[in-house]
Amino acid sequence: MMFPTLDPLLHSELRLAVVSLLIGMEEAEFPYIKEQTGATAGNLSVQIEKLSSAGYITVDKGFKGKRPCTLCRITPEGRKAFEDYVKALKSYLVKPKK
Amino acid sequence: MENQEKLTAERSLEIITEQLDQSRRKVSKTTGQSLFVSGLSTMIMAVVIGIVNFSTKTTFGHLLWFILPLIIWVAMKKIHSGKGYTPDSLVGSLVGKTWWTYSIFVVVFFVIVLVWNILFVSRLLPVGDHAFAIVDPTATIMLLMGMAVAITGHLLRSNKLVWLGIVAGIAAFVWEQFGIGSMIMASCTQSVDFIVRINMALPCLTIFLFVLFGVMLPGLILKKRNL
Repeated sequence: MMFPTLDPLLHSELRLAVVSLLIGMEEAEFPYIKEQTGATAGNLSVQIEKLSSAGYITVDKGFKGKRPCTLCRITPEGRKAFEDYVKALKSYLVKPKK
Repeated sequence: MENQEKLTAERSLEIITEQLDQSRRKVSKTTGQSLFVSGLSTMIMAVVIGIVNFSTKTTFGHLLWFILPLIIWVAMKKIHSGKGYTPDSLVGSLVGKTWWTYSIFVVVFFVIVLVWNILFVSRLLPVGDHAFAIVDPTATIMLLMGMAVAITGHLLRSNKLVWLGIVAGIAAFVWEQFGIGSMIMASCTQSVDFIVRINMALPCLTIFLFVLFGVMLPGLILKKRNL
């Protein structure tokens, strides 16, 4: 049985957690994602940058009052990639028929 | 959570499920809290209006309903202040839109009914026909609220909420539309003055009971629910 290749960009614990979190949200701030995933700020920044470069998420840096605010949103490409990833994942989990 | 490149399919699925569940739990809790606070405010308001209507033998107390959204808004602001940032989830935003649509329907319908009952019916119809032409808004508003609760239940995948909304909405509609409360009261007492007074306050009792079982109780269930 041939298994489809899993998107290497999503097949990473932290990047997958970020995309899974954003899939059900309209947008989320950086500190919230950090809190939910339990990642360090440095590692999370690197992974968010990778997802952003691939066009899976958009990152808007601005200000909320006087404090800096980084907002992340999933893009249609990111949504499609996540759906394909879940579809591919299913084929790994289905037990082969005897 | 650190970045590990060697990830099994099972672990991937676990991460996805964990994040989605976490998000749903948050929405359930926030919605439950909103329903609980709105329900409690509405019940207190129903008691106040019921007392006003009972003691004045009029229905002018119902005008107090217009300040209820303000009370709920202030209460929600107080509860959420200092709780930190929580992003809008897609499900949460759908729940919000459901209740926003319900509010628009209720406010517009209530204003139309008030204008109809106060301005048109009393001026256009002969005295004896007033009772047949007056529109009672309570039954329809309760039915719409039951629908909003049931839709919220569907969005949050809570069958208890769906059924409480449906049953409470329909029961309140039947109770109010067919004057079951008035009939029971009339059979219990002979005092005309008491019957008149209780008729002015009865819609508030219906609202109180409906909100207790159709809004506050589901809110409490959602708040306590552990997905």
